[in-house]
Amino acid sequence: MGCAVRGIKVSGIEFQLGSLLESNHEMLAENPSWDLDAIERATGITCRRLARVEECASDLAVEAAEKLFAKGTVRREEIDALIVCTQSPDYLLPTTACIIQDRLGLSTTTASFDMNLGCSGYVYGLAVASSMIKSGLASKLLLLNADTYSKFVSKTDRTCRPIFADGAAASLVESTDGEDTVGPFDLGTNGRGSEKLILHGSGTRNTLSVKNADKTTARNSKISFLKMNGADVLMFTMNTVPKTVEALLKKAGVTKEQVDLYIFHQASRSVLDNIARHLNLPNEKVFRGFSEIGNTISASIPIAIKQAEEQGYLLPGQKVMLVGFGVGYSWGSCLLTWTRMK
Amino acid sequence: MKTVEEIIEHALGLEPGSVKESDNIETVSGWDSLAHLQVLIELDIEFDGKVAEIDQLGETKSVKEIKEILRTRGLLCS
Repeated sequence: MGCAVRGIKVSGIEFQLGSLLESNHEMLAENPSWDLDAIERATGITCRRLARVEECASDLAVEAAEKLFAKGTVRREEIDALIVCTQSPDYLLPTTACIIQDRLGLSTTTASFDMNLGCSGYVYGLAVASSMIKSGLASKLLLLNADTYSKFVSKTDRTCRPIFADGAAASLVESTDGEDTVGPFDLGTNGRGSEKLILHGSGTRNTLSVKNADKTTARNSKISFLKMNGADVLMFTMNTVPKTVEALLKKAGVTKEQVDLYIFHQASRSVLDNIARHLNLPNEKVFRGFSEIGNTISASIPIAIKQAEEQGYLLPGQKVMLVGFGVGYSWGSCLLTWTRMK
Repeated sequence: MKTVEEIIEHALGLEPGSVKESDNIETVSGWDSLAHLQVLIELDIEFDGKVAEIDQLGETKSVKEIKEILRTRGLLCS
């Protein structure tokens, strides 16, 4: 890349959901004491797409990427950077992006790395992709957002099970001679929320201890189930998300009304309704596509973009705001000027 | 303006007068962790969005705790 890049564009998005479909009635059959009406009122989710036992986030990501290649959006040999955003990696090491680079048959000159972020991961991924392209490190970047949180969720956890689902999205982010269509960004973090949504035992803290250098297996390894304090997470979203939206509007010099569509992380009905209430956004400007999919973590925003385009909610030239938020706590927002995807 | 007890009753769909200051998440029928989300939302609506600023409310488990936090933040009179 020798010449200066004028703009960045999201040229294509494809997604792959977990192969299984779980209805709320199936969930209720295993947990007869649950109040299904109350759960559906709060979540707005009637069924979830879940991965099979042997289906990993990397498998879903590879399938989503293959759809981009099959559609002719980009040729695999053109990809010069690969970012895999996941919190369900195949292994702690090696890096899932390295495994996927090989499985997709991407060039060995491809810069490949993982990002460990949850529901803010799409916006962060676009921010990093945009920076890499503008700095000349890449020109056609494959951004894969993939997670299988359901593997971490207890079947009896009424807070997590009705919400979390499995899916992956593949986005082609590339340089363009035209106007810049991605950005600006507003990113933020509050690690004081780290205990509010956590998978204890999933790393080295207090759990993986190889006491004897000769031993090849980790000892005391015990991964517990995902824990979420729903009330705290709700308070975080109501407090923080409107602020990042306002900050981004100010940075971009546009009004709330000038944004044609808001695509928030597809968390749940309660969360989206209350963010919209705080921002005084009309219902028709807040896209909701999660009711028959569930919350697919960092893949939820690109999946929703694709749904919105297919359903005619996104037209070329429109301004779209993307807002990701969740585990960490971590959040990010950005503006896209919509251009038709390849 | 509704009292905290009335807000909780409304959020949980309970009869007026059924929630007392001494009540907590264990003693009120239907007030569980899921219903607590609706309690927080109703509080936020009643206090014009100011409750969303108070992240400690996410940890509350009783009427008294909610009232104390709201008083500390100047949203309720002593």
